[in-house]
Amino acid sequence: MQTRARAKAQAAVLTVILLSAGACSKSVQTDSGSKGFEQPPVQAEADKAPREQTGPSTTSKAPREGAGKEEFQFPRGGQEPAKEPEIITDTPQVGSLPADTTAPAESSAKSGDVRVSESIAVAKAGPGEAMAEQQNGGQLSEAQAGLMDVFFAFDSWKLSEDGKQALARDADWLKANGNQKLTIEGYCDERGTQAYNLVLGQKRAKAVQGYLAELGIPPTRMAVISYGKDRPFCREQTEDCYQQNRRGHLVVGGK
Amino acid sequence: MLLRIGLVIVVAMAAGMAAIMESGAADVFLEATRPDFQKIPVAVLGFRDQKMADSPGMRLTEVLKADLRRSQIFAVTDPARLGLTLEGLNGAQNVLFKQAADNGIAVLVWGQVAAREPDLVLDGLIYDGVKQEAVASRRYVGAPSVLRQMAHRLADELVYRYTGEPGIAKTKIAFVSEQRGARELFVMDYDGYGPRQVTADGFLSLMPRWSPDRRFLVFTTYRSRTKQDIDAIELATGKRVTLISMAGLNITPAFSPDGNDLAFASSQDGNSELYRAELKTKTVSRLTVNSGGDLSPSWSPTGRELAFVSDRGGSPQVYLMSADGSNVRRLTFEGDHNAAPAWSPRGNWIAYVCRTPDRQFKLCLITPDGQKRVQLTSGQGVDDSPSWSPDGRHLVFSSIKDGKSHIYMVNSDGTDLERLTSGGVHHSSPAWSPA
Repeated sequence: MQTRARAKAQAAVLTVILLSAGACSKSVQTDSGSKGFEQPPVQAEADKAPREQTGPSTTSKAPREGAGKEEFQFPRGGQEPAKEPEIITDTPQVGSLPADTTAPAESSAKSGDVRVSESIAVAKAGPGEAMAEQQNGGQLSEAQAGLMDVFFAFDSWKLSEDGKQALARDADWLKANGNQKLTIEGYCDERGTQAYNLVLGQKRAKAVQGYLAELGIPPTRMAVISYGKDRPFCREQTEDCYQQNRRGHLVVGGK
Repeated sequence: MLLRIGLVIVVAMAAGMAAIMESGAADVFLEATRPDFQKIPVAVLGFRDQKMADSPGMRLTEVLKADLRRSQIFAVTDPARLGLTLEGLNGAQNVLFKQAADNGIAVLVWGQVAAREPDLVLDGLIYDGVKQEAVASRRYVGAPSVLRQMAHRLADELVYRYTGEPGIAKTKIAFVSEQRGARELFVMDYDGYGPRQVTADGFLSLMPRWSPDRRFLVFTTYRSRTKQDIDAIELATGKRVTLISMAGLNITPAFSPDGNDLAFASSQDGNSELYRAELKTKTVSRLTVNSGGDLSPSWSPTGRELAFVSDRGGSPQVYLMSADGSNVRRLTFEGDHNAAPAWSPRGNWIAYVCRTPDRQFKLCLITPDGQKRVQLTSGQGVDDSPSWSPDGRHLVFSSIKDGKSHIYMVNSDGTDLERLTSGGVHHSSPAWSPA
C-alpha cells in the first residue's frame, strides 16, 4: 500500500476581482422543466478501504497544474516510435462552423446590473418518421425478402457456422433478386460503452459484408452501417435479449 | 486559462480568521475534496419578495442553497437554528452580523426580489462574517422564467469571490434522450432542470460534445439515414452544418480546448482510426495507424495530449498520445475492458469506464502517469460516458439499471450521487458544458 503524505496546502492569494458582468444576451425561453430528485440507488464505495475509494482527495502531493503532467513517460509498456502524422492528401471535405451572428452582450457597466437570459433554439419536429415505424418497416421488408439475420457471440464479430449458413441462403436470395440493394446493419447488446459498441457493430456488419462478398455478392451492392447498442431489438436484461441484439441485420431496398 | 488559486480558510470557533497568504509553491490549486479542506460555512437568510405569487423568494433560496452545496466549497448552514432570520435584518443589522460571525458563519447571503414589468429584479447581498463587512451587492434582471438562472449566477458569484474560479451553477449538460423511438440531443441545466430539445431528426443523434465557447454541439448524426456524419449545431440559432462525412464510422468527435481542432474516429481507412481536423485550414491528419480499432479521443486541458481507446492489444484499453499522434503509450493495465476516457479539466485525473472482475461496467479514475487508480462507482448497472464539470470536482455519467438509462452527477470522490433525469426510458451520453 502506498503511504500517503498529507500535504497541507497553503492558501494562495485570493484577489477579489469584480466579476465582469458577462451577460449572455440571448432571447428568453420558458423554464418549463420539472424534475424530482431521487435517492441514488447506486452508492459509491463506503465499505471498502475508504482511502482507496476517495479519488482525487487522496493524492499524495499537491499536483502541479498543467506543466508536463500529461507528458510523464509512463514506465510500463513500449512506445511506438515517433512518427509524422499522415496528412490525408485525398482531403475529405471539412465543413465550416457558422459565424457568430448573435447580438453582442449587453453592456451592464452602466449600472452594474447583470442581465440574465438564455436561449437554446428548440428544435421543431420535422417530417422524419418515428424510428419504431422505420425499424418495423425494415424487418417487414426483410421477412418478405426471406433474408436471415446473423447473430454473434459476446464481444465478437466472428461468424459462426450458423451465421455462415444463414448468409449462404441470403446470398442465394440476393443473386436471385439482382436489383435489390442491401444494407447490413451492425448491432450490439446493451453492455459496454456506447462508443466501443459502435465500433463492434461496424465490425459485425463488415464481417457479414465480407462473407457475402466471398459468396459472390458485389460489394457495390452492399452498404454497411453500425448502430452499436442504439435501436435495440429488445430491452430486457436477459441473455436471450442480449443475444437478439448481437446481430448483423440485413435490409433490402436501401438507397 | 482558468485562474488557479488555492484557498484554505480555517474557521475558528469564536472568531474565524481567514488566513490568506502568498503560496511559495506555484500553481497549488484548490482541492475541495481533500479530507482536510474546510468548507466555508454559509447561511442564506432568504429573499424578500413582498409575497409575490409563486414565492420567488423561497424558490431562489432553495436553488441557491443547492448550488452552494454542490460547489463543494461551502457548508450550507441553517440560519434559523441560530435565530438568524431575514426579518432580523430589519432591526439592528450589526447585532445580527455579529451573532453570525460569533457562530462561525463566514458568509451571509440575503436579498430581495421585486417585479419590474415584465422582468424580475433580484438584489443579492453578501456579508463576510470573517471580515465583518458587506462585500458585495449584485443586481440581476431577467424574465420570471429565468429565476433559477439568477440564483445560479449569484451562487457562481459566491464561488468566484471565495475561490477565484468560475462556478458551475450556470453550466449546462447536453445529452441524448429517447423520444418516441428516436434519440435526440437535449440540453438541460447542470442540476437537471429545464431540458430543451435541440435536434428533431426523428432518428438518431449521438454523443454530443461542446465547443469551448459553448456555442456549438458536435455529434454523430444519422440524419441521412444511410450513413453517419459528424454535424455541428449552433445552440442559439439551430443552424446545422456537417463537419465530417468520411466513409464508414464517423464517431466520438471532440473539440480541442482551443476550439481549433476536432479529433474524431472514422473507419474510412478500413478500421476505426483517429483523425484530427483543423477547422480553419480544413486539413485532416490521421493520428493512428494500426489494425486495431481506435476511438474516443479526449483532449488534455493543455491540448497537447489525447487519451483514447484502442484494442490494438487485443482488448479495449485506454492509451495516451501526443496530439500529433506520436508517443503512444498504454495507460490502463488492470481489467480486460477499459474505455470512454475523459480527461479532467484540471489535468490530474482521467475518468473512464472499467469492467470490474464481476463483469460490471463502472467508472474508474486513473492519474495520467498511471500510478494511481480508483474505482468510483459500484453496484449494478452499466455506467458509461463520464464527463467532467469545468471545475473538475464533479462528473456526470449515464447508468442503465432495470432497463432504464438515466444521467447521474457525482463528486469526483464518489460522494453525493444525484440523479439528474426523471421520466422517460433512455437518457444517455451526457456532456458537461464549459464554464
